[in-house]
Amino acid sequence: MAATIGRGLGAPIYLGRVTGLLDGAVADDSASLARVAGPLPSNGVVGTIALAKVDGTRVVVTAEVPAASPALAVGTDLAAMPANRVAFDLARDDGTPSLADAQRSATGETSALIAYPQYGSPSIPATTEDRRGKVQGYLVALVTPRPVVELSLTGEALKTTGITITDGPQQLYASPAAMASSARRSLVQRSVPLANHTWTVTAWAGPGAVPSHPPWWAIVLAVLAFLASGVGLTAILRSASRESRAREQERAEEVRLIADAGPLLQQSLDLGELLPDFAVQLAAQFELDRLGVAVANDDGELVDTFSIGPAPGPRRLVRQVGPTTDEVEPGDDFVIPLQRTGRTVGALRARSRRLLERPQLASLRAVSDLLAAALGNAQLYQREQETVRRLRDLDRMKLSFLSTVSHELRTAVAAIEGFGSLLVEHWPTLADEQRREFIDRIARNAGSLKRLVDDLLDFARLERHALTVSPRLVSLSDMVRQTVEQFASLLEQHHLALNIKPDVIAFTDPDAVERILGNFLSNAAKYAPPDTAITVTVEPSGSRALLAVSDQGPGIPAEERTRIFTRFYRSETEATHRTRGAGIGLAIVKEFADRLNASVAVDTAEGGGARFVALFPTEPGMLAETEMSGRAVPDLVE
Amino acid sequence: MGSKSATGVLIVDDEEDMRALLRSTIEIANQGLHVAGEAADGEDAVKQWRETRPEIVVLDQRMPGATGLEVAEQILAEHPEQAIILFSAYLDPDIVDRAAQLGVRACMSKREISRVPEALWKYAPEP
Repeated sequence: MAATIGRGLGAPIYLGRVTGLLDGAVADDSASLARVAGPLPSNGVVGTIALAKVDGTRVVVTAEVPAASPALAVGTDLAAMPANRVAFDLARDDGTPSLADAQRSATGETSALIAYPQYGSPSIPATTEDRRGKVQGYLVALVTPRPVVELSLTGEALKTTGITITDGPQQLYASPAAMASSARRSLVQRSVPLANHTWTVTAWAGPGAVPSHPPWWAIVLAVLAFLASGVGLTAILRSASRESRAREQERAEEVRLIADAGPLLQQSLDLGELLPDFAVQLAAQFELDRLGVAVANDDGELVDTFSIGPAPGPRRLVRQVGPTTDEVEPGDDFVIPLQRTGRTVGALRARSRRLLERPQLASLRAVSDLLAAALGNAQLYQREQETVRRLRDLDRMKLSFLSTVSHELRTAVAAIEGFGSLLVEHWPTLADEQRREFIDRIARNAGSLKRLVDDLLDFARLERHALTVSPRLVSLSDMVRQTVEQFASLLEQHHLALNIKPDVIAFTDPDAVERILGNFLSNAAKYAPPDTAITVTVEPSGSRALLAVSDQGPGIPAEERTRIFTRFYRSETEATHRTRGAGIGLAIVKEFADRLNASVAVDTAEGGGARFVALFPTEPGMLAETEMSGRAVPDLVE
Repeated sequence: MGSKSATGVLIVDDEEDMRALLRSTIEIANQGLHVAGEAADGEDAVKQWRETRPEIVVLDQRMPGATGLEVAEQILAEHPEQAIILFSAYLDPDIVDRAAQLGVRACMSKREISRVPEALWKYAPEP
C-alpha cells in the first residue's frame, strides 16, 4: 500500500514541479517542454501536459508531452471549449491553478483540464488587472481519474469494489463493480478539493467483497483522496513556493531599501531634503498610493509635514498598525505611530493598493522606527540650532549693550567733566549766561547718568531676582504730578502737557511708578523732536488706572511694539540710531509692571507719535490686564 | 600765534552736549581758533566740509549712519592733506590703528577735552 501511496503522490508533485521549473515562462517547442517535464507520472493521472500560448482570445497549444498526443495537439485552441475558457479565465485572474469541468473524449475517457497560468516572470502580478495584462500562456494537463484507480487496485479488488468519482452531478469515473451493483455496503465517501473544484470519491463493498478491518476500500479511498487532493495541494504548494520566492525577493528589496535609507535617515539633519525621495521609493516598494509623515508639534499635536498621493477622505476609518496587526486590506488607510523613548514624535500615514501582511507591516514599522529616530535627531538639532542662535543673539545684544552703556557713561561723564573744568578754570571770565548754560548741561548729563545708573542697578537686581515692589493704594494723580517735576530739565526742549484727572487711585508702588514714568518720559524726550508736545495722561480706565505718555516723534513700528520691552533690544529704526540708550529701560518697565499686576504697551498717539501706556490695578488682588489694545485704550489705538 | 588766526575747526559729533563743549572750549581758548561749522552726522559733516573747507576736523567716531573713520576716509580720499582729529569716548586699538592707516593726525579721548586746543594748534596746517 505504501508503494501505491508513493506512486499516487508522484503525479501531483510532478505537475507542480514542472510549473515551478518553468518559472512563469511559456516554452515554444515540445522538445524544451519535454526537457523540463521529464518523464510523466507512471500512474497515468497526468497523461499529457502541454504549454499553450495566449493569442488574443485563443489559447493555442505550442508544445506538448508526449509529442503528437491527440488530446492536446499543437495548434489546438483550447479556449474554444467553453469549459476550458472558464478555467483559463479563472486561473489567469486568480493566479492559481484552475480545473475545468471534466469532459469525455472521443475514446470515452473522462478527463478534466487543469491550467497553471504563466506570466513570464517568477512572481505573480499583484492586481487582477496586472494579471490580465501580463498573462502569456498556461501549463495545462489533462487529469484523468480512471488510470489512478485502475492502476492502484488489483484486478480482484476492482471487481468487488464499487468506486465512483464525481464532480458535483457529473460522474467522472465508475468502476465495473459500481456499474454492476446497486447495493452499497460499508460505503465510504471522501471530498477531495482539487484546485477550484471538489471531487467526491465514493467506495463501497460490492458483491463478493470480503469485509476486513479497516475495510481495504477505505484505504483505497484514502489513497485516492490523498492522490487527488495532492494534485491541488501540490499545485498550491508549488504556487506558494513560487510566491514565497517572489516574496523573498520582495522582502530582500524591502530590506535593501531600509538598509540603504537607514544610515541616510539617521545621519541627515535636514529631513525636508531627504524625505520626499525616500517616500517615493517607499511608496513604490510597498505599493502605497498615499504616504504622509506628520510630526508632533510642541503641544503634541500631529501636523502633516509631508505627503504624497491623495489625502484620506474625512470619514475614512484609519487603522493603527502595531506589532500585533496581522494585515491591512488594500485601500485601507492606516497609521503607524513614530515613537521615540515611549513618546510619540510623529506618525506615518499611508494607504496601500495591495494586501499588506505581517512581513510588510514589520518592514514598514522598521521604517517608522528609523523615521522616528531621524525625526528625533532633526528636532534635537533644530532645537540646538535655535538655542545657539538665541545665545548668539543674546551675546550680540549683551556686547552691544556693554558697548552702548560704556559709551553712554563716558559721554555723560565727559560732558560733566568738560563743562565742570571750563567753569573751574574760566569762572572769572565767563559771562553769567555761559555759567548758567554750563551748569544746566552738567545737571542734564548728571540726570542722564543717574537714570542710566538706576537702570543698571534695577537690571542687576532683576538678574539676581531681587527686584521687589511694595504696592499700596496711592493717588496716581498726585504721584505723577510730583514725578514729572523731577524731570523738568529733561523736558525743557519740549512742550509738556499734563492731562491728569484728579484723585485717580492705583494700587501700586510709588518708586516703581517713578521708574516707569521716568522711562516713558525719557523715551519721549529722546525721540520726539524739540518744540513738540509731550503729553502725560492720568485717568481711570474701566476698573484700572491709566498712565500714558504720548509724543509727536516717529512712533514705534507695529512689528517692534512687543520686542521693545525685551532686554537689550533696541529698535532698528533710524530714530533709535540717533539717540542714546542701553536697551534695558523698557525691559525694566515691563518687569516692574509684571510685579505690580500692571500692563504696559505702546501704541500710536494722535498725530502718529508713540503712546506708552501703563494700566495699574486699583485694588489689591486684581490681575493684570491681558488685552490692552482695543479694549482698555480703544480711542487711541490705530 | 597770529599766523594761526585763520584756523577754522569743523566739529562733528551726534551729541549736542559734546558739540557745545567743544565749541565753548575752542571759543574760550580763543587763540587763533574758530568754529567753522558743526555737524551731527557723517553725511552733514562731508557736506559742511566741502562748503567750509576747515583747516582741521574734529570727528566723533560713534555716530548714527557713517562712523567717524568712514567720514575721515571719504574726506581724505578727496583731500589727503586734510588735518583730522578723531575725538571719541571710547578708543580701542583697532580704531587707533585704522585711523593711523587712513592718515588721521591724532586720536583723542573725550576725557581729554582740555587738551583739545593744544592738539588743534599742533595739527593745524601752516597757513
